[in-house]
Amino acid sequence: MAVALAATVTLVAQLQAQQPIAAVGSQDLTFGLVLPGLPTAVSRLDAANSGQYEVRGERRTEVRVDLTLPATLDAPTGASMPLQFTVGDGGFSPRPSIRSSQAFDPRAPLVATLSASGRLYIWLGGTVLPLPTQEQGSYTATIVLTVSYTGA
Amino acid sequence: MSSKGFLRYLLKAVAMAAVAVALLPVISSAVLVAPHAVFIDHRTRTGQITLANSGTEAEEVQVELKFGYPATDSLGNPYVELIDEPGPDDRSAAEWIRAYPTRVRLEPGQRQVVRLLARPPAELADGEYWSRIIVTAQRVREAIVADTGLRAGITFRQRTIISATYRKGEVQTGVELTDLRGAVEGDSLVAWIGLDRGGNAAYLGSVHFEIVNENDDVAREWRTPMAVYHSINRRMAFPLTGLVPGTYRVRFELSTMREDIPQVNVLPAPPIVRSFAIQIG
Amino acid sequence: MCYRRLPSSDPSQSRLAEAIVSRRTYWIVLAASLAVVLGSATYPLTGQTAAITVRAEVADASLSWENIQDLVFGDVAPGMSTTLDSRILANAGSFEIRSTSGAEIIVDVTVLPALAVGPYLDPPSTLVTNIRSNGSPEDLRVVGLGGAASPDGTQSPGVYEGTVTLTAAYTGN
Repeated sequence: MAVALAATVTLVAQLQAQQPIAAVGSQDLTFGLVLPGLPTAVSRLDAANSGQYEVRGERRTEVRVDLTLPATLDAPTGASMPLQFTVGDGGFSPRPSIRSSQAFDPRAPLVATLSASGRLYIWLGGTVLPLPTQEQGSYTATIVLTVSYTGA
Repeated sequence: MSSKGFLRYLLKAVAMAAVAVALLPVISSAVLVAPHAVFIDHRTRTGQITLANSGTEAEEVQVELKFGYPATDSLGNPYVELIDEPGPDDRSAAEWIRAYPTRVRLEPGQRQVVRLLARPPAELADGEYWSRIIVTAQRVREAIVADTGLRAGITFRQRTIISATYRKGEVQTGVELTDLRGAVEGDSLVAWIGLDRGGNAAYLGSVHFEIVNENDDVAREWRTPMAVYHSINRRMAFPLTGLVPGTYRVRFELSTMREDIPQVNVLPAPPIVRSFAIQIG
Repeated sequence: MCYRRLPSSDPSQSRLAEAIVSRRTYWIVLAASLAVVLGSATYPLTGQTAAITVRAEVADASLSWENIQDLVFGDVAPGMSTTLDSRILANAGSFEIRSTSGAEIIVDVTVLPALAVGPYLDPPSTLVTNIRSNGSPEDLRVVGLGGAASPDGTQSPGVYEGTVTLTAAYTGN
């Protein structure tokens, strides 16, 4: 019985012997100075201002990426400013090359395969829509990326 | 009547105006200038403004600099006095501050940074030098094909005038209160304020009026920015509607507190506080 | 689930108990392991998260015009006056001025002999207004313009256009 149990645990361990998956936010999404009433967009291809993540895990393994996207940026005073993401605002690539990235819709889950070195790079653009009456000041929001193995 | 004559007649005839209490949903034309007050330091000699078109049609925008400053007319109303040919005693920076570019076409949603570069005279004395930045915008319009009918319309050319201040070396300012009078006229408090500037820089401050009742409760208050470049004699009127008849005191304070300009750009000066009595009803 | 304390003094009962526990443990471990393996085939394993911040700075001082509508008389008839009432927004020219809270702005209409703003009819063509700090609508001023076009009876057909210059000057500095 002990042998059988040990064999089963070994089998499960082998099935589960994937490298832990990890994600890190490597650059904030920065709109800089925006003017009241004037929508301002940051392209996912904007290396200096786009939001950037790096995912590390088991090489050549499929992962699912979910982004929690806020609808507004908020100021400490309580004021808020609309934030919008559209179809091409997300980009991903197994290489750290923004130009080689492939577009995706950040509002929907992304399923992609990690590179031979176990990497996946993600870029994120977006658009802020300040109202003509937008209160001056600094506005921030947080975007959370969740990554997990699909098991495929 | 010729076409020109008709146009003149049309313009003269445009004499009615009233309140637009609600907004139409589509903004066809919108030009924004930021900031509304530019400060340039002698050490960097550069500044910038940003122009933006938040409307739905392209705009032709022109930028020019002209000497000028806020002043008051004989009725005590403020205006911006623009002087085409400033004299040697005028502290004009308009001749040696250049804007780049001076003409730009702004597509909807587009913005443009205009650089300001100062090349002051070599022997420029310490102090403050002034200019106005005039931004004129007009919508780019397609040619209208005349037909057999008669059509008429007026478009708006929008002119925005903001300030440019150049500071070199030690700058200081101050102000002397030369006149302060207040009286109830109809349903308003009308106050006259006379101010003379001292130092070598404009006085940037604000006046704060409070109307307090016999229990020292503040019944009304108003704050208005005040810029003094030379001497001004300003008339201000504040509504008193709703105040119960009685004796009140008006507290007056002139200070360098400003809401609309970063305080770092406001030169310090001691406040002036006065008060006087008024009778309502 | 219930637990039973087995007497330890009886060796045969003790072995039996061990066997029962081992068998139960085996099945529990096996079931849990298979659940994880099979589950991972259809559902993601526990996700790892990472966050970034979105940042924007809204300009702290500006002055803007918004021309909501031109003053359009449209088709007019020779010899007949066409009047547009500024209170009827479908016809009137209108514009807005916005600026930073606390800013004083002078609005000047150079051509028109009259201008009315707010609840006042103000015969002079200059308006002095303070942008207030209470947010919209007090941080803007809305101005409506009306007028009349009066072509005479012999007016030639064509498109007649005039341009009115509106000036907003910041007087706070």
